[in-house]
Amino acid sequence: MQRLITKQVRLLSNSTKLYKPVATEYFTTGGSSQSVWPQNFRLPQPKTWEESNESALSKATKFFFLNEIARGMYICMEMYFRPPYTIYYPFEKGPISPRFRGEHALRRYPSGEERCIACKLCEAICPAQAITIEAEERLDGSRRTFKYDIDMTKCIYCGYCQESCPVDAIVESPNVEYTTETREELLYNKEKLLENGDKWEQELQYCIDADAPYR
Amino acid sequence: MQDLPPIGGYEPVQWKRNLPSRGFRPVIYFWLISGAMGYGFYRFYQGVDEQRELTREKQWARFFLQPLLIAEEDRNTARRYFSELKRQELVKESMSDEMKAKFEEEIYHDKSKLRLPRYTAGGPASEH
Amino acid sequence: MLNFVELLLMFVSVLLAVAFLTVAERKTLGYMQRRVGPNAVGYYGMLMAMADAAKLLLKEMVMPTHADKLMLIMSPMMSLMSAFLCWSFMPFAPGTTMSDHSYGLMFTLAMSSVGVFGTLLAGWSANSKYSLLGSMRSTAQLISYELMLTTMVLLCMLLTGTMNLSKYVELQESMWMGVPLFPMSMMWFMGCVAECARPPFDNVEAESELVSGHMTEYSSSMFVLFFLSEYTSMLFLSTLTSMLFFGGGTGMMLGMKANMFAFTYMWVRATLPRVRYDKLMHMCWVMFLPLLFGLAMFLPSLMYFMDAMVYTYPTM
Repeated sequence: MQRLITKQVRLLSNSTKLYKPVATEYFTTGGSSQSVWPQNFRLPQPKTWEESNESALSKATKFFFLNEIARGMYICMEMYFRPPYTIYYPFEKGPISPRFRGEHALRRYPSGEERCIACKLCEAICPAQAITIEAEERLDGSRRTFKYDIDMTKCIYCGYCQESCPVDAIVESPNVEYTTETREELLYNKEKLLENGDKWEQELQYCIDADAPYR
Repeated sequence: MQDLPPIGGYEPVQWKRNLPSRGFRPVIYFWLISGAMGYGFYRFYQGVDEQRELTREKQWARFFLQPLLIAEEDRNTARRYFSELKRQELVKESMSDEMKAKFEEEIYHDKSKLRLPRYTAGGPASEH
Repeated sequence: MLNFVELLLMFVSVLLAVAFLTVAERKTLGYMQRRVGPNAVGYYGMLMAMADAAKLLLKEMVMPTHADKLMLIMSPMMSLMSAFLCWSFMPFAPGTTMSDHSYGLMFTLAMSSVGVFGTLLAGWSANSKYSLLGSMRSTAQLISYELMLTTMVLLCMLLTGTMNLSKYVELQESMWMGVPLFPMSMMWFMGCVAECARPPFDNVEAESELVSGHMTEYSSSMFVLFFLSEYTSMLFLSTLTSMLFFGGGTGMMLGMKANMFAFTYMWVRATLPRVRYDKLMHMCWVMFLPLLFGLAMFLPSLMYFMDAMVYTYPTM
């Protein structure tokens, strides 16, 4: 028979807790086997001032000689002598996921034909309205853009354009080191700089290969 | 193809606090520090004793040195007094008679003390 | 003439020490938090202080229109002046004090008290409610802990019988005064940390971060002066601690002990969170001062009992 109410010794400091039920002796979760808490889940109740058998001298010594503070300071001292976690950025870089969203790029098919068919899905989905597209029939009759601008200062790098593109034309490369000295250089003009996706093509292909099973 | 946990599961995680009680009993620290303080006071007391002896030595050295210093000062004063008198003689020779009478008049009437001249004419007496 | 060269030499040394102290603090705090501090500027970031100084001096000096300009400019200067003047009484070796005053220790305390004016006038002159409140609180903190420091210095003077700071080095050859007076040296250190308004007692700076505090209307050069005065008084109080309680020796030895204490300032900063303002005041007036007054009754009787009163004339 489990004791649902524990009779404790009647002291001044716990006389308000005498008839409270003890929570550790029955299953508060109702007993389903998936959610039984482990055996010594709760720490034992800290001793009240009447039960603890610490002398006044002990308490006074701990108070005046800053016991816990000294212990904390010792921990800091230990940490002082351990190696720091910092990496030296330009020379060492941290790991990046293949899904990392950085600078934009426009891809091409392996035959050299540009992928973008001016469907304007990316322009429609862009939350910051950073993409501007104007399209016209090309000389050989195919549907292509003649103006594709991404304003990198408006872009929020959410990756929606990448997700929405049906032909995987606009992608985000893992590059973030493309700082410029003037603001105007960051308003990526028509397809010029975006075709420097040619530069990143190999990296983009690797990222897409790594991520394709999950898309 | 899903991102599943490794085969065999993960290792158990330590979720409970681990604050072992460290150090001696506080009473031991109390007696240690009191002992150190007592010893410190003892050594300090010895140091203070020595400082007192040194100060005493310094004071007595100054006591013994004083006659020498006073004697030197007296010699200096005497020399200056006599040279001032000599200077006054030399100046008196060049004065007229009535000025001489006025010059020789005593400033102070009380002859019980030796009054040293307050202002001197300056310059060595041997020049004139 | 040589007097001025000596003065200049000492001030330049102290300034350099303070500059490198700022870098040392950032690096120490970094390593205690398992990261590196500044490490790009010079070798291992040593020139960071120069970079900071250059940046602050080249900034635009923002002068609020409603502020009292004379006091605004004067208060950081007062802080810095008092922090530097304290250094003139510090004996670095027998005979190398700037001024070997018989009442040097008292003068030192007086100069630190004058430094409080800098804080007070800074908040007042900025003519904004929040600056005023911040400076009132920090002034209250500073003067309370002044009391504590003065009492402890008084007790030290009781033990040594002299206010001439160079005598303390001689007297501690037998035994450092921090050993018999160990609890008092701990209280002294805590009082020093509160006096410099360093964490964990830095409501002054915290108020700058949170609302305003007395340093809000300060930019560029005036901020540099406040900044320097804080670190100068920190370094000075470390040196004074090592001199009064831990047997400050000559030259290098004094420097190393002072460095240990400056390191402890930063160590304490890394370890402890900020103390709430009313608990700060409570600590001073209800915990430290009664203890100190108790000690002030106990120590003379102890000295009389042990026949260890030092009878010297003040001029020796």
